[in-house]
Amino acid sequence: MITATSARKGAAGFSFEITEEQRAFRDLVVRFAAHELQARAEHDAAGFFTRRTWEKCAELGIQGLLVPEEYGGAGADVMSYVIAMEAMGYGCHDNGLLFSLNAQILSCQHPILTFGSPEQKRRYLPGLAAGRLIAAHGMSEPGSGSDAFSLATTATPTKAGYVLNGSKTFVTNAPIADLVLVFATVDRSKGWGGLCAFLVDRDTHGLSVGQPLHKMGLQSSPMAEVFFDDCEIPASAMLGKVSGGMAIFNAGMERERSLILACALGTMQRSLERCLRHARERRQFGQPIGRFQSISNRIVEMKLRLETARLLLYRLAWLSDRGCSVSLDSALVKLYLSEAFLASSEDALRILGGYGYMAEYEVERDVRDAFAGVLYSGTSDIQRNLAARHLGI
Amino acid sequence: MNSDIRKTIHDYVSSELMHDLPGLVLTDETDLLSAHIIDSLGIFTLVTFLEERFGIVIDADEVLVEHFGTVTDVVNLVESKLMGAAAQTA
Repeated sequence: MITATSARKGAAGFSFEITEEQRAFRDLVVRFAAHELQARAEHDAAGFFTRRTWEKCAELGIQGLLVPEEYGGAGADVMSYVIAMEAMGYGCHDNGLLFSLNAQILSCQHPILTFGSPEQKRRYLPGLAAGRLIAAHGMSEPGSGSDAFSLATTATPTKAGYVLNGSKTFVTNAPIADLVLVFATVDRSKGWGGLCAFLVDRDTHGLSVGQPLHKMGLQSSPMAEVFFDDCEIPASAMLGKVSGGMAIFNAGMERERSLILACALGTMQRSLERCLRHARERRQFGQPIGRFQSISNRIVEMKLRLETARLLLYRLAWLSDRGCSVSLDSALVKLYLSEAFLASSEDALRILGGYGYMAEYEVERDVRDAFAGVLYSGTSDIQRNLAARHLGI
Repeated sequence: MNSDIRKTIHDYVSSELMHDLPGLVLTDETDLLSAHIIDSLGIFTLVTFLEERFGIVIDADEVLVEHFGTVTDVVNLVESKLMGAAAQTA
């Protein structure tokens, strides 16, 4: 028989509360983001990025959160990262900056940390954590997007190392990067078995960066093509081992799928609060518009999406911190959070009406930025495919 | 032990990773990559299966062609893991 005591005992290992320390940390990050990272609408239109803003984030410890102390980071757990990014999304309206930060932290720093040699870790991680270095991740090519492993960039072995030839597109941070993590094949006939990963410094002869690409959203996150033209690199530039590129790419993508939308939780929370205020204060036909079910129903849906997304992501963080596999969970989290962020951003625009359509209200920016979420790190359809394979179908 | 491990892996690969290859006969030396039996996601479902079935841990930096090129390669990897675990407990 279930008693009150046994029920409490059962609940002991299943808490939805964050600790006082985590709460204080979250509040600190929100204050920092609100005061130091404000990017006005005109900044968005201009694709505004400054190295100083990047450095401020590093001074707070954002880039170093998941980096071990021996490499200049905080060695925090995944849940702490989620809390920090949720707070960044709540306090900072600049989704592009947050995207650039996450692109480096999740798809570059994580693979270096997981697969890098001691020398590679010492060479890159302290600078990345401190904001002195910026990293970019090059996988997509003009002819290979969702079918990532059909890439055409080649790595030809030489006596001294490798020669890279090919090009990468949609490379986040490319115009500002000091370092590119690039994937290339040593033997296309081997499929994923020929894939290798390399850490290439920006000033390496034969590496060039194209003009910044103009996008629909995430304007403050610089993006460009990267070209490799007889780009000679030493053998020590290889990350991991020959044929290990696929595992490295997957590790980075799994981490990215898991966490890149953590900041969207904060943005969705802020957007919900704004819509609630508007629904209470804006009066039409003699009453607050929140009295109309067409408004209140949308707000309830926004709340439901936010809470569902938060539960999914917190659970993933909890599993990650216990060393559990999150391969399936990461696809589900990416799929749900990205679609929820887009749907709720669109709801916010409809609730704000004509004001929401004006750039100065920054609601239309959220819609444009949110749309990227259902495309990057694997489209929503790719996430469904991944989840289906994990379910054995 | 070798034959049990080999049969377990052979059966898993042929039943779970070859749905789209009905005419192909799997041997211990079939090239799993060039025959398109193990793709980029299939490799991780196989790793998960091996870890759960044999109680071993396969690190991400061990997901290499030399360990997953053929059924024999996979058998050798599992055996080396099991022998390593046995040596630690002895």
